[in-house]
Amino acid sequence: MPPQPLSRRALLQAAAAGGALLPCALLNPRALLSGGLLGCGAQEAPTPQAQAASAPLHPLIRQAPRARYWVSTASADCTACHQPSELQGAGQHEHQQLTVKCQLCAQGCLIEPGQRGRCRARINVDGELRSLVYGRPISTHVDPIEKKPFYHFLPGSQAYSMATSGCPLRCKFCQNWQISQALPEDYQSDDRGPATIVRAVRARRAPVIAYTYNEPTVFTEYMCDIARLGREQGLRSVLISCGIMNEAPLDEMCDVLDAIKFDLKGFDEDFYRQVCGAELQAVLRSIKQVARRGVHLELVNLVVPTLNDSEKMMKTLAEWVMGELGPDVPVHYTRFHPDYQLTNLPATPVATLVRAREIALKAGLRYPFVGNLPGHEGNNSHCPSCGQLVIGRKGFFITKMAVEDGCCAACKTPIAGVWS
Amino acid sequence: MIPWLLLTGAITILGQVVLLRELNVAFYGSELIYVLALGLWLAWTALGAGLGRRGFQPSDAQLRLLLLAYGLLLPASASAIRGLRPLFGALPGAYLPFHHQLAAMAISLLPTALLAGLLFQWTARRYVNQQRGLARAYAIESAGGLFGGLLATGALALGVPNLGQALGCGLLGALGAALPSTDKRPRWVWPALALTAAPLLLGLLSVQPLDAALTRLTHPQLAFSRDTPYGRVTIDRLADQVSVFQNDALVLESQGTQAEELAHPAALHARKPMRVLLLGGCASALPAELLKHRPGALDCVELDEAWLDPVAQHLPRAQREALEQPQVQLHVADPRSWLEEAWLYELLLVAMPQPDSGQANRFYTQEFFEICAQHLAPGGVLALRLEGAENLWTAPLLRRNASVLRAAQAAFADVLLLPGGTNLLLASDQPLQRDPQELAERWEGLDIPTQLVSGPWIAYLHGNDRVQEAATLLAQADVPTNRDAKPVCYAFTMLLWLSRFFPSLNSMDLPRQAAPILAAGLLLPWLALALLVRRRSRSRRALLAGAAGFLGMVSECALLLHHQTRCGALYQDLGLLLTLFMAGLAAGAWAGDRLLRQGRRPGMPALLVLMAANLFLARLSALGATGGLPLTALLLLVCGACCALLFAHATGRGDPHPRRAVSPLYAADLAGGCLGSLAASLLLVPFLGLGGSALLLAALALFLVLPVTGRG
Repeated sequence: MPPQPLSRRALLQAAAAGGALLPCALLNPRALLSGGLLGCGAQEAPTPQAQAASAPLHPLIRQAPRARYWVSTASADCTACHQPSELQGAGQHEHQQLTVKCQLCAQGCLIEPGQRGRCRARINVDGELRSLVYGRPISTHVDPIEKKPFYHFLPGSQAYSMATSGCPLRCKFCQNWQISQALPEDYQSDDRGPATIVRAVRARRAPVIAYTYNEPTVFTEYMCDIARLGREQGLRSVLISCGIMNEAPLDEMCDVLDAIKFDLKGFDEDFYRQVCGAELQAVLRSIKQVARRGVHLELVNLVVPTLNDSEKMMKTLAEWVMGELGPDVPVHYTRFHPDYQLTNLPATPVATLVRAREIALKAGLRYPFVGNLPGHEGNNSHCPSCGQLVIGRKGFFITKMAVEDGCCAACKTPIAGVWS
Repeated sequence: MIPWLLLTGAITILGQVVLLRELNVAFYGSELIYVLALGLWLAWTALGAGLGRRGFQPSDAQLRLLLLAYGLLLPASASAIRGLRPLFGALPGAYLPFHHQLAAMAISLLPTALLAGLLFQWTARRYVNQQRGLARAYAIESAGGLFGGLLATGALALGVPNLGQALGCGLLGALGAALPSTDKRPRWVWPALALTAAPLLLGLLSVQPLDAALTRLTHPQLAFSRDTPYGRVTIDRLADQVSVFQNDALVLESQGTQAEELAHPAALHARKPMRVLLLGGCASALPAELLKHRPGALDCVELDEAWLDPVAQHLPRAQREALEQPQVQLHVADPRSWLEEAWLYELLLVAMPQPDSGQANRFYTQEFFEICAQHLAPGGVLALRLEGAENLWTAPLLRRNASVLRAAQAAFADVLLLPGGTNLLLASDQPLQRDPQELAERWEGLDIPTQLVSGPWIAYLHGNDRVQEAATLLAQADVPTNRDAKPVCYAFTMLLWLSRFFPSLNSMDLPRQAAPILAAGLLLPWLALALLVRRRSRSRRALLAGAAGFLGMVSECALLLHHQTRCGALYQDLGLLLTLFMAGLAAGAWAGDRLLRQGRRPGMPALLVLMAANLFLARLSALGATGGLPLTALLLLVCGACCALLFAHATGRGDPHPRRAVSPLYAADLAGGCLGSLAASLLLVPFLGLGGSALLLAALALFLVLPVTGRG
């Protein structure tokens, strides 16, 4: 990889980070020399120098497979990046060589050689975009599917949950920031291809594979390969996502996945920009696309006090879901817990969540829930026709199951969801 | 000039304390931030002390003007700090990016600290100009500092809020502008004083509403706020939920299930405990949850009465009533000291803050767990919480948990760590039940109404795949035991906190050889410097002044931590200890001045005594002994006196231009203090421990013999 000139901005960022971390650097000069500290200081993307010097990155790059969903400046198709109106009358424009544009998610990162996208998981190696996280899960656990949360998809089943590092978002309340904000080289991970994962899932006797903890879009290639292989062996696959992926990758996901849960973190552009570093419209587009494709869909709205808990926002959100998706999509209004960089904001008051659920019911939604609020009545599913309790829950555990063949055991009204 | 020097010492120390308290709250009570802020304050003060030409002689009017400016700037800075987070665009409850935090601290401290440094320099210059020694000026200022320190702690104990102290200190400084001096008082002084004092007085008279209004900048749902000796307590009420903050860090909320998650598994393992002890967390839902197990006696020990009373008043009724049950006894005391005198219990819950500071770490050490083991009946259970991460343990998190686990394993026959978002550590002198189904059935048999805890939850807590994974990781972790004398947790805490801003630190492992690298990294340059300046008079004096500041600050930090870990963190003790250190400084500087006048050099005896004191402290630490308050106080007094004697030595005798030495020596002393505070808190105590730090200090003092005996 050719040496890159160090920009003034990058130099200042590195200097600031280096100064702040002087005590650590004193104690671990190896980390400093290997670029670990400087690399971590550059929040958006580590400097090429740091990356080039980062010893654990080399084998990762060597083994990293070619990613999907990107174009390069070498491509003849200018419309992949530009609007036709931009191209009209324009002369021959010479791009900087070997730049690629990632088309995986709505961030649309333009990536110079040696650099990565915002997700930190995809790197431009001499004009080719590669996935640094394919086959490299850093966290795998078996959880109840209600923990994801999926309330109307195979209730009570166990989900083999897995994550790699990386995320295109920067949510200040991320509960898995150790995973999502990490670089792929930050953690040791054995190469575990799709076949190995599927074998592990079967060994654990879990009927479902959940792609979760970080934003699985960053390991789309890996996820789709596992899901395809898993389906051949009778395993279901579910995605837990922020919904920021572009249409084409989401189409591929819909082909191989059985259920998708999207985080609709708020219904306000400013909230998305300031708190998450993303755009609301991309998420709404993804939600509609999944609904159109008929894949089982559930939504989670994390209600953060003072940031996205206004009555107006809740009403708009509920009406949008009702209008665009219909009444049968389960919506979870979950309680915020302080985490990551938002540790000193109180958890959401119970009254706020109850109010959100009431607004959703009033808007016509049939399955609104309160989440992260164990023992509350709002955790349960009721038959929209007779009002009987069909699924009772305490925490992540089922206390009552009265859905038979997908219908209310009492009045036989179909209950939306996947039950077998 | 003596009143001017006394006043300068008093208002600069008081101002420093007031601003650091505010910054501590503005950045959520992070100890690292506190240390960095102290370092920044000392650095800016050093800059102020070093500003200007060497031969400059400030006029009487300039000095008065400086005091007036200080009087206005201090409360203005204290108020501005309250609005720092909104000013820098932070989301409510969110941290600013790390570099913004540093910038905010630097900017908010700069004006006041710079003026403080200038005040040091100018008052000392005018004093020295009257044919007096610099060492004596230092002694008088230290005496003023002693008074300022007493005022800072005493006013808080009397219920004067921090903002009130800022306004009072400002007023004191402004009034100083009218002090008599050898020059005639300028005519503008009285009107200027009136203009300055009027808003300060007005502010003091309406300090309560002003304080509340400034607190509302970051707490729009404010229900209550008070400054206590342990920090600022703020209570918010949003809908029907009560949230309690200490130094703006969220410590309690009334609708969560955290209390259930600690109380019920612990009580389940203890099998119907009759005598239960709760250390900390008395204002949470823990007493109410523990009472569901119908113990015969529940002793609750809380450290801070000033915290407990207002919090209890705002709690939901059920939680408040739990504290009034006949079987509940509430004790206000240092929980560790209280435990040492306590009876035997069947269940002991530690709900103290996480080991993020020297003060809190003493509830997670081997020595503390040994005390717990002595006060548990056979088969009794100890339970506590440790910060965790549900889906991935980072290197610092693993090592911090492992260091506490090792400490518990050294005191108990069986220790079980149940991982989760918050880890639960259980320990007993007899084997703990590990069968999830057996425990789930046991829980079902109790028939206790809860929000979260259920049979399946108990089974999941003990049987999910994270339990085995965590056990394997913890067993493999190569990490020292968390001890009183070597609080290793603290270093990992520092990394954990920083990793929120620099996530790649999560993969950073502190090398085993950190201690020798650190010691060599400090000793070798120190020795080289000592050799280099031996025959250069000016550099030698600056080095000795800087060394006095450095050794003084490191000794102070190490001794205070020593006292905290061994004897508790009682507020009145700390006030007394700091006062004695300042008294040592004043006495040492005064004695140094006397010795210089008699033609004797105070440096050598100071170094010998300092070495002896540190060797004694190292020995004390190795023996695990505690000398109690009297011995710690004596050591602080001695160390303060030695450092001041060293400073007096640096001021020299027979200097033909003593005025020229004022600025560089003051600046060097303060810069040394700045480095000392950072080194002691961030590196020496966490990595070398108390004993190691004391040995290192003794070695540094030994090397200083070279410049002290130097000529030229």
